[in-house]
Amino acid sequence: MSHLIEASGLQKVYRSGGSITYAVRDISLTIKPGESVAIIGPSGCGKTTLINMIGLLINPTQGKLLINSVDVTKLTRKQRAEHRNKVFGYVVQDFALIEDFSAYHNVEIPLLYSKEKVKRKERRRRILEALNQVGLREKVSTRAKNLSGGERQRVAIARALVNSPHIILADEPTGSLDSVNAEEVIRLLNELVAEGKTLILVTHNSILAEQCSRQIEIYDGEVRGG
Amino acid sequence: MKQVRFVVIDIMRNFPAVVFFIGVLTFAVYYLVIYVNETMLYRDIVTQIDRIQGYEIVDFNVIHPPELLIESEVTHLLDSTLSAENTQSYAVIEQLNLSPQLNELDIPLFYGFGQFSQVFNLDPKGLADSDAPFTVLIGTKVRALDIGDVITIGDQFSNTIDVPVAGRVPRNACFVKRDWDTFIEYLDHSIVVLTSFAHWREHHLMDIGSLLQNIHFINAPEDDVFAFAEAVAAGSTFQLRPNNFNKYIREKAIAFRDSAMRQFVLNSITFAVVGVAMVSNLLMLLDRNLREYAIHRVYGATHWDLYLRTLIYIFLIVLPSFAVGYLRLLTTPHTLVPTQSKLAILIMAVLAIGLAAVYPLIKLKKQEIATDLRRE
Repeated sequence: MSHLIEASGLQKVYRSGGSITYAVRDISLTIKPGESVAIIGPSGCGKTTLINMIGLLINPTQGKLLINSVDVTKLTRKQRAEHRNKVFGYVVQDFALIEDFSAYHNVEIPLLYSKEKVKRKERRRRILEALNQVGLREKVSTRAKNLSGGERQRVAIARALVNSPHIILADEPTGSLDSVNAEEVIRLLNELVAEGKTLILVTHNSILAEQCSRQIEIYDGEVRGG
Repeated sequence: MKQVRFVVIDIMRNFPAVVFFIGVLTFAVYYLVIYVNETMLYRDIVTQIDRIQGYEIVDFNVIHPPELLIESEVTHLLDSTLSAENTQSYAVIEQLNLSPQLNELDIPLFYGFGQFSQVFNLDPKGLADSDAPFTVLIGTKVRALDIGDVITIGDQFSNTIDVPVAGRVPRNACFVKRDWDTFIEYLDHSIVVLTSFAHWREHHLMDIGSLLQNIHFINAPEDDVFAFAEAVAAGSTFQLRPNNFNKYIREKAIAFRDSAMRQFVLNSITFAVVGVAMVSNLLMLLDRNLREYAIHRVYGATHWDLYLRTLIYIFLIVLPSFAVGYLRLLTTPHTLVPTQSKLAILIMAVLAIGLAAVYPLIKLKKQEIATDLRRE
């Protein structure tokens, strides 16, 4: 099976004044379609930087990154934005919801920027389907600020799903949740993998990491195992 | 369209500040428009003053008792003074009593006698010399008439005559006159009829009083000017006091400029202060929204989407004030608005939006999605 993601020699360097910090030193990895990969490691080792590079949120300083055989390091800003919209669904620790938007309007955002112009009726259908999938159909009009932590993360997952991306990137998805809600989120992520999505997650949660098909351990900006 | 929706949300989030800025900007721009227009007027006044520098122009203060008496000698005197052959005088009047055709067209009509068109350079290029009693010219912005169309000259109490339009006066054509409030008049939206007094009075009831106030002698010997004033005094109840028109216009122009510039500077300061406050508020909004922008960008928004959102927001705050200012110009009589004023207001609106947008757009350009996504 061909690789969905191929990274070789990825490096991310931050320069501030005279000092240089290597967030990621030299990472090479491959991920196949349908895999679930947990990126683990101590705080500050470069896990989030790695997932942000894969998700096209930051540019690597050096190295090659192929996604669906496309060298994404050579894409224009506009193409990167299109890739973010089409290829990835993002879930982050603190949900990244717009607080005064309803669940509906938060989930709608990826559809608004979709290259295929999704008509209002079709948008509504997809949003309700995504919210239904995470069990929040009845909270469609509730503003994000009035939802509980678990509900917010489920809205974030619905938003990550609504554009039917191939890859779900989750950075500490259970980091801000109690155990009950964390379990619910883990269950939802597992369901996505069962549906054939590729899941890449950064986590400190060992239960979540163990449920993934593979674990990649990062230490001091380099891959240690996996 | 989606960005308009997000801008509406931004406005609702920031509603009191937005209303405040629209209000203050409208106030500032309203007055700024007046002073910009006056500055443009001044520029044209200076051009006209430069033009008439070559002439020594004398006009008259007219004094008359309530009961008027005019003998036929005065009419004959005006016939010879404001004839096509006389190179030493001109007069201009706005004709209010018009033929039904011109009343319907509702276009201001000015009669110019003697050397009026030479002094203010109104002759269109290529206009052939003619012995016709009337030469009808139209302003560059008169759309209801064209060259060759026929207009009816004369009021309802007199004989009328049909005359074809011979040409258009040059763009931004204007003349200066004695009135304080309106001492420059633009002719872009007007009809100008060049004729002699003798031909004019065949088709209009005479208003000698207003005509005498608008008679100007050009490079005439002092004796001739006094002789004219004495002849008018002898043949009517009007008393004429000669004035140096060049000096009068120059002094008025300087006073006009000083007043306009003072107000313009004061208003510009107000405008600048409001502008700085608006940009600060915009930056606060931007700062508050950075995380939201990052969320949009994570899900496919480009920098241009966010630039557009910011520009629309600024546009919606700035636009009402300039729209009110522009409306102020549109409702000012055409004869008092130079063409450049409208252009200047449009340029100022674009500049205001541009200046307000520069710093926020630079900030957006430098945005790091991953960093802002983690902001609370």
